[in-house]
Amino acid sequence: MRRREMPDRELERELRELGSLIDYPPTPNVARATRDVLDEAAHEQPRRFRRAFPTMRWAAAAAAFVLVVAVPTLSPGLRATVSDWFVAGTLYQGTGVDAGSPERQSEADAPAAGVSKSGTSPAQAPQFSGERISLREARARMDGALLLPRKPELGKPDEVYAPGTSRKEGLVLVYGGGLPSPGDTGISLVLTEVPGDLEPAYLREKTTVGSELQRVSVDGGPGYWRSAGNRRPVHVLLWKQGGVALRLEADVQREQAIRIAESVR
Amino acid sequence: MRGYQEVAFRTAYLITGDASEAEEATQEAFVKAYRALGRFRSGARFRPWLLAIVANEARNQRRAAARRAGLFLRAAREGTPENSPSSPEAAVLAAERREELLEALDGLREQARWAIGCRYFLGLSEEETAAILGCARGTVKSRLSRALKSLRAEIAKEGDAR
Repeated sequence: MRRREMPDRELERELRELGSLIDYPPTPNVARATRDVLDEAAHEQPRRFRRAFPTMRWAAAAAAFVLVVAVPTLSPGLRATVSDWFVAGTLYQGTGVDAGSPERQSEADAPAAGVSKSGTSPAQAPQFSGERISLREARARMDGALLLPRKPELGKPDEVYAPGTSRKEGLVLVYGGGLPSPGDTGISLVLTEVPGDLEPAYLREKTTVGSELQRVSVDGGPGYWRSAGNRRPVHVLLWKQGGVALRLEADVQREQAIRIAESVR
Repeated sequence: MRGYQEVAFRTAYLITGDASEAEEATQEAFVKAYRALGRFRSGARFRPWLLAIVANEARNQRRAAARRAGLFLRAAREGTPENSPSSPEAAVLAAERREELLEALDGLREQARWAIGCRYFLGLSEEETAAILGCARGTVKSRLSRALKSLRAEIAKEGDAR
């Protein structure tokens, strides 16, 4: 078969058709694997990692492939757990990977456990890593500046977890009532507060603002809203207040989440 | 990164010709890209920059595996067009033509094959193709034109040999 005279256009068409026939293997979730590698690196060399990724770099990243949600720079255990909430959406499906120890949960001075109060079995409930502490300890840990939503229906947090031993590692507040509680978790709202900026605390892997992460205003300041999805059954609101980066996770509409956030002080 | 992983993986696959090597190359490239964000020029386009890193990693992978270039095309041999020719004769002719093209592509130099792969197989832009080939954007057209010329020559050579 001779085709010396084949015009470019025809040859190009054939090449495109040939390209369309390539049977590519399914694309693996490389982004997820990459995140795990970076997580591990951050855990192994936390100081060097932070120096290597100053906040300013996020400005460059945002211009290109923008923001994302993910994992707080908390203790490795909590990081793994929280990471699963976001990525696999297991918060209200109950596959926390690093639960607080039962011994600690039964300490006499710990606040009543919302999860156990609701009668939810541990297998169904999300579990939180780190040391379970009392509200009083939490206030002391945050130098008296513990931020809490001031909504009568929420009341006080049912459980408080400290992923690390210092203030800078933040706290996780777990509420059991006052709002819808998806699934059988007995948990209605989780508020994480970490001193510092949003980027190092919560934004890591990137996604486009406008598709997954919407910009919102919380009390006149910037915030980010991420709607629940199939693999992530709770909504997430991120904002910063008084030098503390906050993340609220709940099964409520955006406006209600913002109202709760604006009540935080 | 999720939005880029398919084009990144496919680019790596066309270069390495092996799914697991492509996956490894893509992941390594993503980690490197993340760590190199500080060197990313503000205002530049991200995808070409990322694909250049991916292609580089894929080439390293392939070198490490001492793999002969050109394996990337074998997958196309297995494919079936969506609009299959109506008659068996036409189908045979079409398959023969594809085989002829593939053999001709295999005979090309690596740079020419990549230029064609980037533009026609992956549907990348000139800018992205330039980033992968490591050349200026302005030279992509001429490289592609030379690649097509070489391809035509290869096809002719095959034709003469038959």
